[in-house]
Amino acid sequence: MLNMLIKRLIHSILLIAAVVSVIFFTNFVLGDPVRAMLPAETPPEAVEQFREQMGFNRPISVQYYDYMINAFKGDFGDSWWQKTPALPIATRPLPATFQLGILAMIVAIGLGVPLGVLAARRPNSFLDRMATVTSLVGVSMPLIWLCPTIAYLVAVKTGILPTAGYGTWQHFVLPTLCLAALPLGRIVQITRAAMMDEMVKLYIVTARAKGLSNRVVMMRHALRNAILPVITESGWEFILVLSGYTIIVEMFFGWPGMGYMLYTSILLRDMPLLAATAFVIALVVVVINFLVDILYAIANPLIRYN
Amino acid sequence: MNNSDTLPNKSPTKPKSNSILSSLLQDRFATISAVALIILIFTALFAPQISPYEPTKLDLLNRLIPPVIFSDGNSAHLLGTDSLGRDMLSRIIHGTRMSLTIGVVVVIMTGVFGTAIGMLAGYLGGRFDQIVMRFVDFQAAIPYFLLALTIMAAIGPGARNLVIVLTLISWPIFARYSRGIMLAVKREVYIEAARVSGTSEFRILLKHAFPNLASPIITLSTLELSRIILSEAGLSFIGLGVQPPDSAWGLMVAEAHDYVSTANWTITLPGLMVMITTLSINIFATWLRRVSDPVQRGRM
Amino acid sequence: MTKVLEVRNLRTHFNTSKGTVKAVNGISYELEAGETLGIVGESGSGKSVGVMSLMKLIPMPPGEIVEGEAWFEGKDIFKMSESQLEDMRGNSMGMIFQDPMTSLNPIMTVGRQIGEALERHTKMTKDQVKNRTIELLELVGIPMAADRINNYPIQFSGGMRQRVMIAIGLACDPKLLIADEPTTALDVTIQAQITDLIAKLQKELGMSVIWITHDLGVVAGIADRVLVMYAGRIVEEATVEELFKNPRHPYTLGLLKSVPRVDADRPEKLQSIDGMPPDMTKELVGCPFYARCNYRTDKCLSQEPKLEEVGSKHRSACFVDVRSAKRTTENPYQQVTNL
Repeated sequence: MLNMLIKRLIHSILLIAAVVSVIFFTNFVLGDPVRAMLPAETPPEAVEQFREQMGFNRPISVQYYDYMINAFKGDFGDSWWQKTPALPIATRPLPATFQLGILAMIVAIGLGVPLGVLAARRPNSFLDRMATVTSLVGVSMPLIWLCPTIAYLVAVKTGILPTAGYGTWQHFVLPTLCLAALPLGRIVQITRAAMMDEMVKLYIVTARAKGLSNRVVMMRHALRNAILPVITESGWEFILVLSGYTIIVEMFFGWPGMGYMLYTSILLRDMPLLAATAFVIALVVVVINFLVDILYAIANPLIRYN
Repeated sequence: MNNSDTLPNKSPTKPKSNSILSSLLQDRFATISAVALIILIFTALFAPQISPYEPTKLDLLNRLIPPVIFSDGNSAHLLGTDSLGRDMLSRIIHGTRMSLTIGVVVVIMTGVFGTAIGMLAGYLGGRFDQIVMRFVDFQAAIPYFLLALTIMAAIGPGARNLVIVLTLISWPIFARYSRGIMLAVKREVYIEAARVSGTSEFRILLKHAFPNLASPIITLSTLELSRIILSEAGLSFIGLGVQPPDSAWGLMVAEAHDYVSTANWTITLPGLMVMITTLSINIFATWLRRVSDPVQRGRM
Repeated sequence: MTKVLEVRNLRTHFNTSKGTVKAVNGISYELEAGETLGIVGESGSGKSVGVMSLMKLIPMPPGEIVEGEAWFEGKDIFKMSESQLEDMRGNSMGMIFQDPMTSLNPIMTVGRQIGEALERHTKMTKDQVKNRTIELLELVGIPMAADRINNYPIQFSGGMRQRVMIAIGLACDPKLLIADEPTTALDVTIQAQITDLIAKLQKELGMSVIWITHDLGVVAGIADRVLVMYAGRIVEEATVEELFKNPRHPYTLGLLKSVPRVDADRPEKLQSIDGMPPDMTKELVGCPFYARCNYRTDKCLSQEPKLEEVGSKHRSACFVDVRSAKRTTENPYQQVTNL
């Protein structure tokens, strides 16, 4: 058990190192950080002087080493936009994103699992077909269409909810729904498939042969086993929410979160801030993966016996 | 096939029409999606011919005309115009070409490269396999969109870079899938039989091992296509994908950001196109998977 | 002796997209208290579906019990409500299945899986349930039972898992235990242990047993009476001695001939029954065994033989007396394929 945890930890560190390396490689090797930092019309001699001053003319391996050490110390340099250290700026929007993300996952799981179970219970019934359609639409949903459409239909037309901003509970409603759409679709799919997988297994017949009611068999036996892949998938969906979907949703709804920060740093071509934000998100991803693994190990006793 | 265990006095069996086409037509959704895809492909192929205007043609006098179904629309612009007076229909048609082209190119490149690598990794094992698995693990652990985004932000946007980056980060998906299948196939008896009978390894790979991959890889390709198109739309929206003056749905949505309440069609129509495309691909892919995998047939 | 089970003319069909599979085609039999009935047949003969229908454990759709009556302890099973059936299952009628690998819930402890049956049907307290569970595990021969109730199925060997299965089936002292190929997935030495165990328990607890198998060797060891099933029908019924000494149906003959014998004079070629069972979605005219029968006549082609008395407590469904008749054809199956 401890062995596995240590392996996991090393794996996670390597992963973050890999992400930072990719950031370094694409910015410092494929791109020219000096030109990115200076205005276009800077004369070449000034550019070269700047290059030397900042140490960008050192061998790549030296720069790489320095960059990595600094990254792990949390030093990504100063944001070009705000002129203060990048990492603290990058972490500030984290709570806002977490609030939205966790709420969205609660909606997605809270609706998705029951829907998936009900659909699997009666295959090819109306409910099942509804669930299939919903999940298919859910996973195909481009947020760049969903967000403006929902914002328009609900906020603009009816005016009961705000179109953008952060502050009251009303501000949460639309972004949460949009953010939950794709995970909801996926979770319904996964739950339904996992339940259908379990329902044809022999131990279900054994359970029924004990005289247990259909409901008990579904919940205590089938769902209990089916929930395992649902846990792993939900974890992954959560990661996708925090590292991808949230960017679009936050942009549309003016939500001051990590996604918005990422977008801003891209817009302003602020490389240190972008690097720091990406780093934070990668860190969050790793932590979530870890937590999901623990949750899975709790739910699946067999893990401990292998 | 049934004659061997039926008695001659039993009624003759009626052959059921089991062709792929008939099973497609039996599923309404799949048929609709297939038709939609054909229309989309056709649009992409013949965009310059069927587009009523040049997508880049500005007409500032005719900005923000609503689609023809509204009272203040006009038939010169069936889907209206955007904030710069460009014809929406033309832009959407060219956007179709852009998105589908990027999607198909990326899928073909990742498909060919990824499948080949995965096949070799699974079949040969050893060091090569271990190295490939490193890439696969990395790809699986890093959120796709974030990775694409960070790289594009660093090397600069544009359709060409987009294709390269998407290919580089997607090939491990195919590699992992085909490797998995190879590992299972490797142990099959007929591979051993072929080897014993003196067939060269290369021939074994090609003639015996590879056919197992064809159908699952095709299904995977369709799913990947929808994912690539969604990613491209998202990246173009953020400004890291296709650049103006090219037409791309994501770009169109971004450009129309300010007009959500005033000129809703400028933002909704391109988004809707992405939706229709990915939905059709996903429905079709679902049908495809069901048809090629007997286990799944009872499912959906 | 009282009749524990009586089945009349049971027909079970499965309505699939490829046609209706007539899995069970009118079987009737009785079971006395304390008796062990063996049901023998190949895959697809309907032996499993037949007994699963009794507990209504077949998936219904696509399954359907189209006809038939069954009385268990005098009560009409097919008129029972779902909750009455649930009261009966695992309680007075227990069932154990083959392949203990997959017939036990992998992530539930063994103790819990046994305890579940007890909780469902008795009003025992938690402690009583725990004690009874340990008792049951000891009864089925699992050592260190008290330690093992919190183990998971994966921590047991195949034979041990099957014992757990038996413990579940026996938990509430059933009057009838149905064992559906309980030893098929186990190796031969374990097989012997399990059959001995069930025989012993049967004597101790005085219950009736239906034992389903495709293995005549197993039947010889434990059954009092035997039903031979083919194509969803009973083709022969007899006491076990009578069946082995005096088989009357060509299918039974074929089965017996295909069992390797230690006491053969010289090495014989194993005789198998050529061919495959008939397609169960088709209407069958005549005897279902016609295509593979060495004794067939023209009558067999057009009329289906009914089960008839051919001796004391011995019934067979065949027009031909195999004791005196000569084999009318060799390689019957190949002749059919040439038609």
